[in-house]
This record gives sequence, structure tokens and C-alpha cells, in this order.
Amino acid sequence: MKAVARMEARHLVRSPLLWLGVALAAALTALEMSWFLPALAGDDLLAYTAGGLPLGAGALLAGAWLGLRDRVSGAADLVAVTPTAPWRLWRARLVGVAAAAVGMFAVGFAVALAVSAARGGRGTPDLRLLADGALALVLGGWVGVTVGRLSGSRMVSVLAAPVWLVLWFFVVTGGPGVAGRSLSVQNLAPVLNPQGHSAAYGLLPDPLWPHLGYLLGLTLLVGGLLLVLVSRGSAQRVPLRPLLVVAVTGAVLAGTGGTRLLTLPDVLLVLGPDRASWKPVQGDVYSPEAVSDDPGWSFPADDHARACAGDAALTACVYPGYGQRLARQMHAAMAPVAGVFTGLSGVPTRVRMVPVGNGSCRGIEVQVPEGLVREPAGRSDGNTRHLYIGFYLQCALGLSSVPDDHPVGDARDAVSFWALVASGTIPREELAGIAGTDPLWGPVATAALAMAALPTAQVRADLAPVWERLRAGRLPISELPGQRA
Amino acid sequence: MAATLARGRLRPVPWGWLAVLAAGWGLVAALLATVPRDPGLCVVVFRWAAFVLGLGGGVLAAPETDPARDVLRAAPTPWWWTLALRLAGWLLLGTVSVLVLAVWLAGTAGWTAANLVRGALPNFLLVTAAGFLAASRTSVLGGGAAAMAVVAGVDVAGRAWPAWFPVQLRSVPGGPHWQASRVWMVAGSLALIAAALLAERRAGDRLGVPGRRRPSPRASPPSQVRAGP
Repeated sequence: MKAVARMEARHLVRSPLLWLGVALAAALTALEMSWFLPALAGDDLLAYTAGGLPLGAGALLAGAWLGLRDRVSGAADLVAVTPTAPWRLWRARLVGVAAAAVGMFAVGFAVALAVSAARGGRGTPDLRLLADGALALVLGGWVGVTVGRLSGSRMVSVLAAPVWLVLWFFVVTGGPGVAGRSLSVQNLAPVLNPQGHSAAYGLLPDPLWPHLGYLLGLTLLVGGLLLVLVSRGSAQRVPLRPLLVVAVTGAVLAGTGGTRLLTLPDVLLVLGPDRASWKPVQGDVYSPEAVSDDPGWSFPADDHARACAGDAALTACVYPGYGQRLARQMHAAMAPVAGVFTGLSGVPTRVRMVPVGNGSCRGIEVQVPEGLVREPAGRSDGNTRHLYIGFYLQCALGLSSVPDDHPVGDARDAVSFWALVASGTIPREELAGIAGTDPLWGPVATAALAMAALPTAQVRADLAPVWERLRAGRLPISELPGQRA
Repeated sequence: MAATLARGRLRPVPWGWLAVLAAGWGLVAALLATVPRDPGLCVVVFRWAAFVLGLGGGVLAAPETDPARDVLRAAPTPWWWTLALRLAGWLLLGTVSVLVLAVWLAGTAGWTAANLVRGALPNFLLVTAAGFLAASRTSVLGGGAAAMAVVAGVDVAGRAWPAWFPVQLRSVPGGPHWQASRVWMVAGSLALIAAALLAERRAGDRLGVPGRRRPSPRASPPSQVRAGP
């Protein structure tokens, strides 16, 4: 039977249906990876989620073809009269499907990680994702074999793939975004789509162990069911004891794993290095209030952001998974603006990546949220630079991270504009354009232009005595340097 | 005579099965569209379900539907004409299903019935066309897989190059790509169908069957048959 399994695996590996899934998985994974900064502990998840679905559909169709093959090729009668028990033959075929599916997924996963590493991704990938994705593919392939064998219809087999995907879609979308929901239904999908992930803290929450058990249980049940069904009417039945063991093990694993998955929260917000502070969130995980109601909240010290770059004036540290290159980019973006404020009290000298929030400040530390940094999709390099500078200015000038939290026309906005011009981040002409055309920001831009007309050192010296009032939001624009004619 | 032949050639297609598929699709899609609490998601479900309906198009041209192809190609009625008839029948069946469901869902998330039809019918047509072409070269399974791959590929391309790729499967009425997506999808589908029929006609020509001339519905009486040289 080993020879049959090997032969079937070889057949399946050459299946155009499976390769169609591989091509789509490669395209989708490449697209997803292009949207995110490279990190091995992150791209492993992208390879799993983006690749698992099309590959699963391909495995299902390839499995369905295998299930149909005897009937289509007219070999069904021939197979029926061979002395080998049908369940043994189909068991070998299932093993062949499993081997091909696992091999395909493993190769795809490895290629994705190699690409990530070549792009500069660092860190340690989670190999449980490899196991989970491979198992999802095996389940898809076995479901396909079962559908093909039982229906004997090509059309039903074709429809099985979209039905599989539609089921997945409903399970996934039936979860998040539904108000008043207490169960995480989306975790029951064959391929998980976790919303919370950090290169330093991993999956938040971590559903992988229960999901592995759940998938393994389902796979055993589907395999056992198929073997029972193919041996119907044959004198050689599946031995009862091993079958019972498989059925009970499958049911227990699927039941316990599924139950555990349902009770997990949608997202676990890491509010500190201490696990006791992690906050489960169900439903609207993106609301700012989910992190903290306190606008002055900041992430406590942890020792995860260890890839650093910078100088005595400013140091930027990110999670090692993103590599020092990201730290250098952050520093390069913020350093010119930081240089403008050098010597003023309380200005940040350190930048640290944190797993949550929208940008927070902790004393002289700028806290940059990992989620916003990791996904630069649709952002130009210039926009990314401005994002980093925005985080810095927020902390340097005591601005809130909550948009529109302070009135337009605040002196701090004028100082922000001035810092951008003085550091060479934006040209003076751009600011002049705002001053001349924008009725909302015009007065602030005009004040900033007046400051920019003075030497930077002089503005800094003039700001020093009023600095604390400025940061507290109590300084009128008229008291800024260069405002008196 | 030709009508009888055409009827004979339409017969191998499991029309009853396809009718059940179209009707069942309507029922299941209507049911699924009520599951999400977000009305916008109901429309998404309807539009994506239209892709699934299109998978029925593969049966029309697949070799396993008419095993003795060369025999059929050698018959007086051009084979591509038969395929075109079958396709027209299936498009009619599917369109009715889409229309009925669109009328039923009208007003959901602010979508009018006309917009729902515009949003779903090209989806159905694209999958039908891709499945029709691919199945005529491979099998029902191959056609279905290729059709699904086309949809996934178009979706991925649209997401990868949102600025210039003309087909955006997630476009909405009034959006920048709405009109262009509809036009490109219909045009692409028609091109695929034309390619499938043209390929079939060429295959007929290779067998020496005249493809352009339609045979006379009545055979000429013996008195009018000209004697050969």
C-alpha cells in the first residue's frame, strides 16, 4: 500500500488543479507580503492565511478528481474485483493526498519565508503555522476525495470548492463586527485569520494549539467516514476497533479544540509585559477606547524593542523581527526634527516600538505602534516619514494622539509647522501655499513662516522660556517668536 | 431538420440539473444574503454568489457532455453553433435567477435592483465564459477550476494595481471603477466566448466541415440536384 500512496502523491503533485491553487496562493501571498514590512515572525502568518485558502481549494478539487477517477476512467469495476480491501486502497490514497498536500504547503511556506528573509525580514517564524496550514490542506483534500467518491458527479465536485470557500467566508465574517457576540465563530474556519499579531508577542490570542487539535480531529473524522463508506457492501470491512479509536479521538479533538476556539477573545490587547494586564476584546477591536480611556496612557517598559539605531540625541528601537534597518529609517526620519528642538526641556530622546495604541508618549520616549508601522500599504515613503515625524512632534509638543483633541490654531501647530520647515522636511514654499490658501490652517502657517524667517537657534532660544506653557497648550500664537512686528 | 438536429444536440446537456442549480442557487443565495447583519455584506454575498452560479457554464462545452466530438463535428450543423445555442440557453436561465434575486434584494444597503443586476450579471457572465472556454478544452472540473482561478486572479490583480487595473470586483456604484469594471468584464467575457466558439469552428474546419454556411433547413428535391461533371 506504500507504493499506492507514493504513486497517488506523485499523481497529485502533478495535478493542474493543485497547481492552479499554488499559482493563486503565490500571487496572493506576494501581494499581501508587499503590503507589509518584512518580518519572519509576521510573514509566516501571511503565508499561512493568504496561501492556505487558495491552496485548500486546489487540494479540494484535486482530491475530488481522485475521488471521481475510478468512475470516470471506467476502472471502478476493475478496482472492485481486486483482492485488496477497498478501505485499504482508499486509505493509501488518503495518505497520498496528505503527503502531496503537506509537501505543497511546506514548499510554499518555505519559499515565502525565504523571500521575507531576502527582503530583510528577521526573527523566528512560528512553525505551528506550517503544521496548521498543512493540516488544513489535508482536510480540504480529504473532503474533496469524499465529495468526489460519494457524489460521483463532476459538477458537484466543482461546486464543492466554492462551497468550501463560502463556508470559510461565512465563518470568518460571521465573527468579527457582529455586535453582542460572545463566541469567536471565526476561529472555526479551516484557515485562521487572526486579527491580533505582534512580531514580539506572537498571536494575540494564540489559537494555534486548539486549532491544530480541532483540525486534526476533523481530518480524522472525515478520513474515517470515507473509509467506512467505501467499504460498504464489501466483504472486507474496516476493522472496528481502530475505527472506533479514530472516531473517538477525532470527536474528542474536534470537540475540545472547537470549544476552546469558540471561547477565545477576538483580540488580546497587550497593555504591558505582564500577562495579567492583557485585555481581551470582542467585537470592535479597533476603537481607540479599546486600549485605554486615559488619553495619557502609555505602554510600560518591556525589553522587546532591542534592534536600535541612532546617536546621542535620539535613539530608535524596534522589535528585532523588523531588523535594524527599520530602526535606522525611523531615526533618519525623526532626527532632523529632533535636532531643531535639541536642548529644550522634556523633548524625546528615545523612540520605542510598542504593540498597541495610536502613538503614545512616556516621558522622553516616543512610543510607535507596531501595527501602524508594519503596514505601509498605500503609503509613500514620504508619507511614512511624515508618520514617524508626527509621532515625534506629538510627544515633543505635548499633543494628544486623539485627532482634533485640541483647537485648530493652537500655538503648538505653528511650532510643528516651523519645525517641519526648519528641519527641511517640507519646503518653505509649501507652507507659504498653506498660509495663502487654507482658511483653516492659514493663520498658523503664517505664524510658522514668521518663525522660519528667524535663525533656528534664535527661535529655539526664544521658545525656551515659554516652552512649558506651550506644551501645556496655554501659549497664545502672539507670544511665539517672530510674531511681534 | 436543422431544428431537430439542434434539439438533439441540446439534449445531452443536463438542462433539468442546470435549472435546479439556477433555482437552488437563487434560494441558497437569498438565504445566505440574509445571514450577515450588515446590509452591505448582504450585497457582497449576492455579488460573489453570482460567480458561483457561473460555474454551471462548464457543463455546456465539456468533452464529457458529448463524448463523440469528432462525430458531432462532422455532422452538417456546425458544432460551434450548437455550443452557442447551449450557451444562450444557460445565460438565459442564469440571468433569470440573477434578476429575480436582484429584485428581491432591491433596496438593500441602498442598492437599486438595476445596480444589483449591474453588479452581479457581469460576474455571472465572466465565470460562465471562462468556464465555457476552459471546459471545452479540458473537462467540467478543469473548466470550473479555471473559472474560479480567473475570478481569484482578477481580484488579486485589482487589489495589487488599484490605480490602473480596470476591473475592480469590489467596486460600487458611483465609484471610480464601477463603470469601467462592468464594461471590461462584459467585454472580456464576450472575448472568451468568442475565442471558445472560434476555436470550435476551426476544429470543425480541420475536419472539413463547412462552418460558415448554415445548411438549408430542407434538403433540395432530387429534381433540383445538379448533376456532377
